[in-house]
Amino acid sequence: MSDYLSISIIALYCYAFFLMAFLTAKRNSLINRFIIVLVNMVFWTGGSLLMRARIWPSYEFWYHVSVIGIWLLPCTYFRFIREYAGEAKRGIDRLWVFLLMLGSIVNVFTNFFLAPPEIVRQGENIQFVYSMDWPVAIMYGLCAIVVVRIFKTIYDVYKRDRAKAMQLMPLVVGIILLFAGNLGITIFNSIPLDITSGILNAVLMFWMLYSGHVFKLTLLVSKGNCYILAMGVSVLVFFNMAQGIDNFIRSQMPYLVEYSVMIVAVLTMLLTLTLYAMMKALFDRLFIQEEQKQNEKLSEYTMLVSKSLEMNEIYRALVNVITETLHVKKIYISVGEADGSFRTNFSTSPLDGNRFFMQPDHPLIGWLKEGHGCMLLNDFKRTVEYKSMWEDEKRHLDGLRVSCFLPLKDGEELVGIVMLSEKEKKHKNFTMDDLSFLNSLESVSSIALKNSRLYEQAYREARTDDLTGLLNRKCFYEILDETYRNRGHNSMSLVIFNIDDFKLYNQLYGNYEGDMALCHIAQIIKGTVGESGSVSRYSAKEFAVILPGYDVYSAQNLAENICTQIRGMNKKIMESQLKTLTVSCGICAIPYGASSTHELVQNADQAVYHVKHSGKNGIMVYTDGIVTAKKGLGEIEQHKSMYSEYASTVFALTAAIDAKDHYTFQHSKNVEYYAESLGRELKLSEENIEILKEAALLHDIGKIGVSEQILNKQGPLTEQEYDAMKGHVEYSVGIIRHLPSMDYVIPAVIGHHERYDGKGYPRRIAGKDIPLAARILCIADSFDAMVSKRCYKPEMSMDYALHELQRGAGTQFDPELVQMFVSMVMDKKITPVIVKPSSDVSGLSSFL
Amino acid sequence: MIFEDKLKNREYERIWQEYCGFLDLDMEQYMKIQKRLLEEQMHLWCNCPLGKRILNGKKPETLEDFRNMVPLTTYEDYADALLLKKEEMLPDKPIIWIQTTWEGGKHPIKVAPYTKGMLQTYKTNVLACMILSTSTEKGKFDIELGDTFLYALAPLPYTTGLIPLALTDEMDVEFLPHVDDAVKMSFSERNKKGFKMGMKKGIDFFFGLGSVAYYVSLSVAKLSEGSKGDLLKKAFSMSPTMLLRYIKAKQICKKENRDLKPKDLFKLKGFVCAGTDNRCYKDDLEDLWGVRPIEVFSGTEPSCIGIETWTRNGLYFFPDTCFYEFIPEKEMERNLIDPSYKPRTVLMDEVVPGEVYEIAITVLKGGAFARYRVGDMYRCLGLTNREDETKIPRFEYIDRIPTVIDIAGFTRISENSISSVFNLSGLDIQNWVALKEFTEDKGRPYLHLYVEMSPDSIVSRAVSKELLKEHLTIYFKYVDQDYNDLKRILGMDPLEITILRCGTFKEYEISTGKQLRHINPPVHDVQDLVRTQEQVGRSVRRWPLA
Repeated sequence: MSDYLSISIIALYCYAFFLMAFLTAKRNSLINRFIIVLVNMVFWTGGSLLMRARIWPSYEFWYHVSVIGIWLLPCTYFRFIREYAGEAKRGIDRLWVFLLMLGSIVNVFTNFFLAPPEIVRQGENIQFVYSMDWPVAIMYGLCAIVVVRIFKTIYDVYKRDRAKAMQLMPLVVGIILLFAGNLGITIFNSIPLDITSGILNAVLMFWMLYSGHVFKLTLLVSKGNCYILAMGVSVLVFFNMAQGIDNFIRSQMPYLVEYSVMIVAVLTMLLTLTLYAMMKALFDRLFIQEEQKQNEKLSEYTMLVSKSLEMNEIYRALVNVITETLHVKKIYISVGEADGSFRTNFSTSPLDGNRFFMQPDHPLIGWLKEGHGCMLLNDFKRTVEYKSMWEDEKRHLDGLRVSCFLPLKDGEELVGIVMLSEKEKKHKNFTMDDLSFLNSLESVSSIALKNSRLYEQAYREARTDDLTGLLNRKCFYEILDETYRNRGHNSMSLVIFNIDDFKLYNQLYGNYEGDMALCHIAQIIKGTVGESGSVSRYSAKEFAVILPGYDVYSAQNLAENICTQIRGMNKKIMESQLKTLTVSCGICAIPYGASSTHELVQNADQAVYHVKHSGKNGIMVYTDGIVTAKKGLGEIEQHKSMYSEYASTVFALTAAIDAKDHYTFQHSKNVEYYAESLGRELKLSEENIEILKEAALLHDIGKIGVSEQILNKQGPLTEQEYDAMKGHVEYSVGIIRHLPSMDYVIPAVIGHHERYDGKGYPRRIAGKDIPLAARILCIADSFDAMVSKRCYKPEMSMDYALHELQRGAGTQFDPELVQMFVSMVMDKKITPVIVKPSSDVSGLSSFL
Repeated sequence: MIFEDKLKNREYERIWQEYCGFLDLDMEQYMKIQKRLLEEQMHLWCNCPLGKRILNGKKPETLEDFRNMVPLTTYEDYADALLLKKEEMLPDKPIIWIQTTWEGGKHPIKVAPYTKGMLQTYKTNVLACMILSTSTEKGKFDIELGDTFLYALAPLPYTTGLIPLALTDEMDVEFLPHVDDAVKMSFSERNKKGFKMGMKKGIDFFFGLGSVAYYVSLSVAKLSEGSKGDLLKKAFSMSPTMLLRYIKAKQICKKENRDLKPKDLFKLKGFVCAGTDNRCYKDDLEDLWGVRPIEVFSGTEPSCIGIETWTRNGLYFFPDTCFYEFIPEKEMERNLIDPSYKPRTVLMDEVVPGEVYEIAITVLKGGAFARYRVGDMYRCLGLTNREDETKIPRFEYIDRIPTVIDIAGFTRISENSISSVFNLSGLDIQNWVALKEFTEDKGRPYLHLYVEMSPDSIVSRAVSKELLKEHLTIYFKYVDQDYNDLKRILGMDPLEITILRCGTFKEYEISTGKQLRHINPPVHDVQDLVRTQEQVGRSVRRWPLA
């Protein structure tokens, strides 16, 4: 075998070997382009080899194959480097490629650029002599242009990223050598300088691949198969070369002829071993090992979670990295709650159900807290802790098919538990490497989870209302502005719900019930609005709903729906009868009733204000200064209906008090008359007069709880008895609160013994803080008490009573009301009712 | 063991038995499953706050008690508990909440809880549907790992969004495009991407709402056409097999002088369609894909409850999903006239072939709904079938109940929604009836409104048929998002208006003594109504002579 052939074979072998390695790898566009480079190399060296061997069909044919490989090589290199540099395609570059391809094709048919070499025989040796002419310069000129583009691209990369460009250095040197080698043909005719340079290029390429910076290949077939194949090729090549070596020894070193076989055998073995070692080294470096792959995944995961503060994103990344690396089908992540329990928050599929729950004393938690790292279920089953597992807990774990646990710890604190199901069948059981990979994940995940949890908690606290879980006022304004900015030309609506008489509700049932009601209302609004808008707690008893894309009609429909649900919410609670809560609702929409967010809020507020002043429990819409009423039931009708609903109860109560103390019954009737007269003089609305009358009738209903001895005692009361007597106010409230729909009379009832100077009872409030109805009742009550005859006192004269009222104006009574009352009596607008005590109860029917 | 493992183990007979074995049940065995599971559900439901509230203090001990004591329910009975997702009121903890549109305007959505047991049954049923969609005879099916799915159904939180989750949990399948990507795309983007991927990888299964599947199929045919440059680009992106198939398909189409159809490019293994009005599209879909779609019945409240077999001749209800009761049509009609009337129900072993029934279900395995009127009508086709070798009743889906008009599986138009539309439109419509009708040419569904304008309005306003149609369409779209989607997704404009002569309704009432119900009155009554116009005409002509 000639030296030329040997050189060609070595070069061909190198490229074929690289090609094989790359073909077995998982591809991407960069790898594909490099494969094309290698294919060209194979064309070139293979063509050259077969040409020199003059293999069928003809040496001219193989010459053309070889030349096509050479001339297209710069283009393929260029495409590869451009992809590596991430440079965009340019039209002009396509031109060089096209011209080189065209030139190669033309050359095949015409031999215009470079004709096949002539075969010159020199004894036994054969030489291939090229005869060149100027046209060849065109092709090499084009090649040179492309080579310049390659260098330009590399230089651009160098400017951007020096390290990246330096990784291409072996390739650059290889290209220079190739170019020089090809030019050398012209100088050293017949010597395959081109192929020799190709070998040097292959060595450099080997170095570049070995350094492992440019490519990361993922092997698709088993590495063992590659070794076997590579060994096979090596043996084949060296089998051929053995003959050449033997010939060389026989001709050049005849004194070693007798050792020829031995020498050939040893050389072949050594070269094979060297080649194998080199291949192995290359494979090990070139292909990402499983471990390396895991490291890479781990580093990607670390990067991702270090950037994220969203728990769900971290959960998903954690699940993905484990699934992809360890091929686990199901993963559940449980996170520690404040009470030490663990609840599953995330799993691979939404259909798994995140219902797994471990109590703080769960043996697994204890075991993982003790710091045993990643652990298999089978190992846990062999611990003493497992003995304390309940059967139910065991069944739960078995139900999830968990086989491995990864504790997530922050220092000594266990923040989460990742539960992994069995691996997919072909990947068998968890290995020590898997467990060590999981342990590496642990440290990154624990910190990320803790940070994200703290962040989400802080974020949630900053944006949401503690009690209802809705957005808070600050966040409301942010969302309002954002919705306004993003709305484009669409409409948006704002609905504000203000709970009616909520203070009273709190007084009646306490703050706990009040909070429950707020939560319930929040739930109703949130549940009804759903994803259509944002719900926030706008103030203590106000909720605001931002509805992007809603016009007034749709917003009003939604508001009606919500109001109806709120009205009905306490009716469904069977255990206790609570007051019906209602809301006053104001709506405003852009562009119909406002043109800025400020106006929107202001106008919706104004609409709420109008509902409040029109008797509450209704919906109003603000449009261009006009507030359109859309009320529920009329207030008066509502009170009437409620009164009639409870009429029988009031009758029963009044009958009871009448039987016990007939005076109180008559007295209540009188107070009703005086209070109504004063109310009308004050020009109160019919609805308020209704409330006043009902309050007057019920104001002393609490006396049912005071002993008859005290009620009918002749002479002054002792301090204890007076205290008991004062208790009737609280008793009254206690009775009325069980008539939830009549609770509106409570403010008047509870305040009718308050004094204007703040020295009354039970709440010792003063001045205008005392509800108007209570101030009216106070005068009416005192006046009737004075002019009526009681068993312990005679009746007082009207003048005396009026005088006493005037004397108490400003201290006990509201001075303005006293003045008005006195004038009314003087003008005979009020006629004092003087009824003597009697046991007859026939009067009852007259007021019902 | 999941489905994939069973498939890998080549346990084909056992797979068939496990998923489609219910087809071999006889009536007695079927009812035994039904009653046993109802017993379990009765215990759960009657003891949960929701059940207690509906039972109002009653405590059923037996299945008969249950049917007597639990009233037939509708969504209103559950709305307050379900819309607020009050889990503590339910028979079992839900894993996922599924959503659907309810009624335009006041109740935008309704939701239904799915428990662990329900989801497990759902998975089994979806796999049964997949198996049966590929079967050509009993026991034979063609499912492989890595099969590709073109998917024309809504994503989560709609019930159809559960299908990809259920399937991917059980086996390795590929959705075109991937479900995570699909949810971020518009409808047309999803179709284009799905088709593009299908051209590369082939399409094995197609799941879709009948009407949507038809629309997608037409767009697939359109997408495969294009300029020469596009085709060249497309050709490069195809796999060699697809490229060969494409070239062959083009040649066939050229020879037969017709447009390219999906069947020329893809060989579907299974084609599953759901929703209403499927019968209007089935023939066309078969022509387009070369495979007759198998019909599955699935809904938000009942989940996936029924499937056809290889004969495509009626659907069978899964015995372990819901407890089925059937309200005979006459009973239902009587209840429509007199809402206080309690209609009688029959069980699966009491249905009569040829009879039409409204279905009422009790969702098993911890479901929230008991004796729930889904609002669907079925006809019993037979009690046994020699072809399928079945001994259980099979049914045909008819439509929604008469008070609801559903067009192409998209809308639920009720009397309320039409009234809202009329009110909003401001048109002075004095009387009206709405009828679901089908086009004469292709049998496509549409909403036909027969309206009588007030005499005053016709002299003071322009009220031509076209104007009314345009005007009302706008308000239908406003009130009902689903109606809007009909146009947006399917390009359908399903409204037809007939303006009746003033006084027609009154004349009809006088002459027949009947008052027509607004939604879907009997067709012959509407025909009589239209004919009544002539009588009105005669009476008007006589009037000046009188």
